[in-house]
Amino acid sequence: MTRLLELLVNGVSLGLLYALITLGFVIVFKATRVVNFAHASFLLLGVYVVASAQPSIGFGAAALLGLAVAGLLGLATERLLLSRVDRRNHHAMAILTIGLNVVLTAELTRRLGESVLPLGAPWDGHVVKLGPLTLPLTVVLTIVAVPVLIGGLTALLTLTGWGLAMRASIADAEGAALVGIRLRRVSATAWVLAGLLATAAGIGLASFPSPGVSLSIESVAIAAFPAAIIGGFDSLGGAIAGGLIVGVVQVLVAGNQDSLSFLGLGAGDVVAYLVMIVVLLWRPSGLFGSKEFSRV
Amino acid sequence: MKRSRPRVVSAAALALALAVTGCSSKATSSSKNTTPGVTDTTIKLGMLMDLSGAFATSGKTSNTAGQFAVDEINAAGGVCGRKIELVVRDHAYDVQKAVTAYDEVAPQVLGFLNVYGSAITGALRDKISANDMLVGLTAFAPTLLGDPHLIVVGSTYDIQAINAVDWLVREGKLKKGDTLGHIYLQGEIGENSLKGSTYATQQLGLKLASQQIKPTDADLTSQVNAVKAAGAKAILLDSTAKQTAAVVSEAQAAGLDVPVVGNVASFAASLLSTAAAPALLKQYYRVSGIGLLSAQTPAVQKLAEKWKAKFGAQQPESGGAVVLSYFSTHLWAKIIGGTCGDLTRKGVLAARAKVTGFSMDGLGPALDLSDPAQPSSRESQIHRPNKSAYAGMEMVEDFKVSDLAKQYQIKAG
Amino acid sequence: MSDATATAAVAPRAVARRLPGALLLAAAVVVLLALPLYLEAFWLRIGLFSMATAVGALGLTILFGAAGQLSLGHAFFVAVGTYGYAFLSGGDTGHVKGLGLPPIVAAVLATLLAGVCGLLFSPVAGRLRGIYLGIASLGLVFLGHHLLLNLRPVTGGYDGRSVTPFSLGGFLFSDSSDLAVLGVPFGAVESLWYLFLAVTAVATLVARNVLRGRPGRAFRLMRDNEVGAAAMGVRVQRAKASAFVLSSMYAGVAGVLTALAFQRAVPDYFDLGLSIDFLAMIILGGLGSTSGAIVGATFVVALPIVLSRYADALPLVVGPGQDGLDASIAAQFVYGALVVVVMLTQPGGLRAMVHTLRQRRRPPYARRTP
Repeated sequence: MTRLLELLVNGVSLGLLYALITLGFVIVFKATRVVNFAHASFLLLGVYVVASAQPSIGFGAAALLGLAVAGLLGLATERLLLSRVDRRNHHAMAILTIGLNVVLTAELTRRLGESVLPLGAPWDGHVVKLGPLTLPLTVVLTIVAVPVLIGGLTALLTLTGWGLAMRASIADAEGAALVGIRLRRVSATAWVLAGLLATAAGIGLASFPSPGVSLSIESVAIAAFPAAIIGGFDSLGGAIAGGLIVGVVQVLVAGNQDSLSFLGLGAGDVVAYLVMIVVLLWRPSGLFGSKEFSRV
Repeated sequence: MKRSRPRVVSAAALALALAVTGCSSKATSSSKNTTPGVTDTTIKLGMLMDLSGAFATSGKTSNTAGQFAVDEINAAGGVCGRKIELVVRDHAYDVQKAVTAYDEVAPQVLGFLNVYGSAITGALRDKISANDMLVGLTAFAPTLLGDPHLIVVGSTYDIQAINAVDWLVREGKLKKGDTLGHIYLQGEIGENSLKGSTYATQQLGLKLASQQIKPTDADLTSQVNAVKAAGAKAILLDSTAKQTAAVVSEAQAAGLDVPVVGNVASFAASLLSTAAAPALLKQYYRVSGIGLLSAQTPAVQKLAEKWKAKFGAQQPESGGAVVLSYFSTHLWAKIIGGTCGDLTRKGVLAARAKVTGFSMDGLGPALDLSDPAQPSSRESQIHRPNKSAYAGMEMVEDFKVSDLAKQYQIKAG
Repeated sequence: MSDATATAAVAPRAVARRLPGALLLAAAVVVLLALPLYLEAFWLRIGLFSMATAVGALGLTILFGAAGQLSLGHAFFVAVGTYGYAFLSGGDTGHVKGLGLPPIVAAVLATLLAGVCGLLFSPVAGRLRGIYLGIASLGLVFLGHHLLLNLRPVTGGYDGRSVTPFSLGGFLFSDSSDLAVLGVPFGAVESLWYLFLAVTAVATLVARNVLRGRPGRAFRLMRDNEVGAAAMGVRVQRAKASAFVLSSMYAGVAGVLTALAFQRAVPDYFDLGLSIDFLAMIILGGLGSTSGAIVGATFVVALPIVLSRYADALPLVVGPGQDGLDASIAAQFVYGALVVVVMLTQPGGLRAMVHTLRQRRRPPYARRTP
């Protein structure tokens, strides 16, 4: 029982981090209709900056620097690259982010190689005992901090002018432009947010008990793809739900690997995709995604 | 002028057709009698390493240390009156690139000093034996034994596991009836190591709780918890260095305070600057079939000085890779030196079997290469991390072969 | 190609225009057939990999370029071809099993097997659109990789399994054959070159006919407007499924060729990166065209290998093991940057670029849209 509870708490914590990654992904898709294949390398770059600046300027300042760099990278991607491609050519834009991902990954592979950079977060190495549960402090902090972050984001989207503009431009881009909404500003903000959210999630992923920042974090971040699809690619609530589902299912399956041995070794890594295909067979646009209508 | 274009094209086609039926340059070049890679002044050896992929740090380290040894050998007059030259290619741990690079390098070299990576060695094995090539490896799988074309330096993974279990028992860290947890990689490293731990636990009256992992797994919490649930009093670990850090911190997070003995590839010096450092210093040991870079013998210190001279304060990530590459390059010089009268690939293969007592003080155990089906040594050392030792590791126990390892029968594959 | 003048008589002009093209083609065929007599194994090996990959890219260009079905699961179907061939033709060695069928039978069955896998997935594919299909098919790559690691009697697990050399009518396509042509010893690469050339040529012709014929028109109609296509009498679900099956079979053939070129099947080759490379190839080359797929595949395959061989001669790039920019990292930079630049300047790919250049060279009155 204790073990199941421990697994659940760990799963929710991982799921919340996935939710952050997926949110950035979905916000970009909603605002610009671009599937950002470079999202995982945004995450790795942000957290790499944190880890490499941390020994000289301390963790707090390094975290801010990492967030800033990833946000700027998002901005630059939108301003310098995507804004020069025909807005309607979604495929071209998606492929462009593939090219960007290749370049970023190559550079990060060159710099990181096999090494593990310590994150130096103040919560590293601490373990909390909550009744019968033994949990890394990171897990507890994630469960507290990420919902606050998501709440803030929701407030931003519902209460501010930018949020309104964004929602309007998603609902009807031409109409929004007609009433004076600057679409470019909306999409630029979305890309900056994606960078920030990815880095925040990356800090969580690289924290104890993970030994630090290494290339394998990028492959963990790919789980945002099935999470986004399960939730529905254009739904913010769906992104959170999808992230949580993937996180919890993954941890539960990995934790019961012995009794699920018929699924094969390492089933935890692929179970998200199984869930995704089942969900898609049932609802082709994900749990919360909007159906596409076509006009002739 | 433009009207004449069809005629030009057809003339070109005709010329080409004529050229094809003529004699090919490839035919003449491939019928010469000299051995590839050998001239009157040089002997060329190949290296296929990962210099830009996931294992680039190991690859670059091996490359540098191999070059140290080559420079030393050449400065002392070379081998058979010839200088050694290395032909290095990067395969980025990609089989496709490795196969192509092999095709490019093979006609230029006498043998391969080092081919890195088990998947890559596997893909090349048929070609290697077709070419009568002698190939050095950075792998210790017993399944590689039995093939006279491959050199496995020192004890194999199964023997290292047996020696590690034997050490745990001798040190009183495991008692009869206790459970040993074994977290091991899928593939030839882990599965061969499991053969050893299975044998040793049976012989010593211990129980074994094993958990398989993949090289790409980042989160090993569930495996650590499973080993804890089985009541393990010690853990044997075959993993990548990153996974070692994850296992010891997760063991710490789970309150599992037991010794963890990793294999030779399960440690990197930079782990001692991560959050896993306290747990590593407290619980982690390493079993190794080759020497230790912080050892106090003159031969090892000479090698460490070379590294310091080249890289200053920047210590090697893997002291083991430095020692292994340097040691096996000298072994190659010894092999070639035994066949100066017959510098051909077949000659080199025959000379390999003549090496029966090669050793360099502290760098590696005494090697006997006469029987390809047997490991060249059954000895191993035990190391433990220490931040002030060079490359982050200090000696716990010098080369020793356990009685169990002596009687263990290797099944060559 | 030719700059025919408007004044010449119609029929001879057409012949005159076709003649250089046909001769060029003939010359190219002669050159391709003669290459194994001259090139060393290194270059032939690159050629083998390029042809194997090009066949896979042809399949994807039918699926994505013509039918508009975004698939990131192509690597999975290639893996089915590779492992299908390895299992069907291989023998039992240790814990790895095989059926020991004749290689040609194994190759055909492996291709059909990939097609069947495509058929099994097509109910999912038929229901999904755009990015949903893209990422659902990406799931196939991860599930497939999981199976490759775990179905050990078939796949050999993490370290993979070796591949039986191809043989046809008693002739063995391997280094142990004693054949020599004009004094050149014909080993595995030389003889495989001709096999691959033949397969690639057939695959290209079939793809060309599909794309130019009725199915291609139906696919494009469906891509541009599903409802419209249905109204015109295209059975959309069936057309989607057949595009998927056809492309999977192409991937299966590519897989068999890959197995023969590698002489070993290892699971890590068939990862997400391979799927993404396939996508990049057909887009770099020019979506929906056979020549674009072949050019794109050759480029993506050959670039890192060639760059790494000539690293010493290139500025900024250093040789293996030296400090600085490694050749294979440099190749990644060039590849990634090129994808970005092509998308920014010429979303139609290299083929569109060549086309624009040709149009520019032509006198204005001869220009026409294809």
